[in-house]
Amino acid sequence: MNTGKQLAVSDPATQLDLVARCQKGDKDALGELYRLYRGEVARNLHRMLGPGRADLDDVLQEVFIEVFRSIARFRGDAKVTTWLYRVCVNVALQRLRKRKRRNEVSTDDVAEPAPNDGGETPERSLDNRRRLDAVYRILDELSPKKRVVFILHEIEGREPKEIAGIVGAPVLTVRTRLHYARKEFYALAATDARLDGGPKGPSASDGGAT
Amino acid sequence: MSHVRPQRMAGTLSARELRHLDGCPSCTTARARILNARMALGEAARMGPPDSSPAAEARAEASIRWTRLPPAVTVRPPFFVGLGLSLAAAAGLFLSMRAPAPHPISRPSLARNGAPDVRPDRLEALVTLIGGDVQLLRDGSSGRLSLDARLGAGDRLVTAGSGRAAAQWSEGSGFLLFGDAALTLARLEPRTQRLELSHGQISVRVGPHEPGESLHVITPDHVVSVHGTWFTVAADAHTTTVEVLEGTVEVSERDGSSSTLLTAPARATFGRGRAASSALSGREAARLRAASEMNLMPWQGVDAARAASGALSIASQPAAELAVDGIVMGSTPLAVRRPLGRHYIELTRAEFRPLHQWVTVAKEQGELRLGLVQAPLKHDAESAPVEIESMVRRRASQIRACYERRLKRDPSLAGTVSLRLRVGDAGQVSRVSVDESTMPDPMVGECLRREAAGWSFSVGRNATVVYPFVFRTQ
Repeated sequence: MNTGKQLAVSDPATQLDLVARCQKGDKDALGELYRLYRGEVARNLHRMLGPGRADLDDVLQEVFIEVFRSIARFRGDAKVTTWLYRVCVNVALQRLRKRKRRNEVSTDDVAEPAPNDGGETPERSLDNRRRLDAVYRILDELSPKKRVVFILHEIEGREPKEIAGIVGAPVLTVRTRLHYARKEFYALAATDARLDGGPKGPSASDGGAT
Repeated sequence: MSHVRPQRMAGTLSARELRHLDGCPSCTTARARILNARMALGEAARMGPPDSSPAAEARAEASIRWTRLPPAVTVRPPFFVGLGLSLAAAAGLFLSMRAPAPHPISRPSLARNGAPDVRPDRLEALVTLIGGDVQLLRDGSSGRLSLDARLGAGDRLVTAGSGRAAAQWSEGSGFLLFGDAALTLARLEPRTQRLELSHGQISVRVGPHEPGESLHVITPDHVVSVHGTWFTVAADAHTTTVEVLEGTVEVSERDGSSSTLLTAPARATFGRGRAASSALSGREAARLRAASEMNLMPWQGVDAARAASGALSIASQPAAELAVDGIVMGSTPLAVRRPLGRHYIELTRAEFRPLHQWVTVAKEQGELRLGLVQAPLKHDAESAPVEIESMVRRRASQIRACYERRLKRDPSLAGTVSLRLRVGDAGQVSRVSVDESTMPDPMVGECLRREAAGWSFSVGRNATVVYPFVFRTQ
């Protein structure tokens, strides 16, 4: 479904060798690890936290600091990428909880197109942006745990079993969370006027034809 | 809307469902919204990773450099264990496992990691701000610090109660030493900067690092290591207080026994073996930022920075708070270094009429002595700026948008735009023009002019006011 899962290094032996070098304290290996996975981790965080987050660099750095600090505890019982995603998801969860506690709203991106009085941006991309923004606003309503599971499944296309490995919960729990997350998400989406518009005409009539 | 079933909504519909949709407008709307939401989820799946910025790379580099890998318990045992555990070797191993993690500071061999063992060049810092009495101790002799001085490794700065001094050694990197403090520039090299704060408070900003560059502030008991950031450190004989305004810093005991990672906005106080931390509120962080500006300048080496800047001494009677180009520098008398050209200075003191004027900074040192006038209490045309200020606060987001829109084209855009406003009898702005501007992009001024043209005040003024807007990136 998406190419996000493709990683730069697919050879597990090379990955383990790199991790072993990191564990020995080889700082060059840490640099390699960063360069190898930076894009993937950033993409993952981007999806998890939503677009236009000014604090993405902070979170990215937090993930890698955590990775570097805990790499010695990595025992090779999971794939390197799964372990990396686990760290990534944990840091994202912390950030989401903090955001929720502070009642923070991501205003970074929404305000931007509004003062654009010239209407230079093509309407379609503006629509896409607005839709994407509305979806992340709805995701903000979900509990961080449900949000993470929902994103890993609905956006990243991961299977519940894999998600269970990443979030460190039983598969059944993941399925339950996913079920309630979907239910909440679509119920909110159905009543969310921000999702009106876009391909309005076609969707009403087109829908029937599918 | 509880009968909305998303999976079915998005998929193929039966004839019965289609008939139902025809007669149910709310279902049709809900279905369209769900389809739109699913489309957005698909778009989210296609989102690529955001581009990496040089600042993010520098921060990662700093994180790599200063990550303290845990002690060797999880690492395979050293090879001599395999040779048979002699008593000495066993003792050695025991010690290596018990000893605290080797601290970056106490490891002079860091440069060996990937770098040739060449003695790095010394770095020089340019003094950018001096207020009050600041002593420079160098090679056993001491004297007053001047703006002409270049600071290097080994130099020690001591500020008196009302003194403050700022210096810069690279693009975006510098420090501001507050009053009643003592700082030694223990190392000032392209790859390593090490500032030893014996007591008092220092604010440090770290710009984009060169690969491998690192910075530490060392207090009597702690080491504050930088992961790309802006922070203040205050120290006395027993405690170290760290306030992180941007990014992340790591605070460790000097003996390496423990370390704490602080991510902005945070404040933490560390004593011997104990620590307390709390979040910094946005307001506090903003206040600290404003109070710890260190007058950083565009940087292409110390000589180029010196050549492109001039010194300006400003004294006032009575002493007042000085801001240059919107940056609060502290209380007068002050000597500051600024890029050559025109700058906007403001002097404020409670109960005195604020004084603002444009000054030109040239090669030769300029001196400015200003007298402040007691503010009259009655409301006259001169006090129009008070009303303008509240208007500016109300319209802050529109004003900021004028700048931020152009900032996207030029990320280094900064400057001051003064608007000349004619306020008519009815309180409306009848004429508005750009009076002076140091903003390279004229569109900012034009946008501001259009914005201000729509303003009107509650009281008729029939006055002309010049109001400056200072824009810069944080």
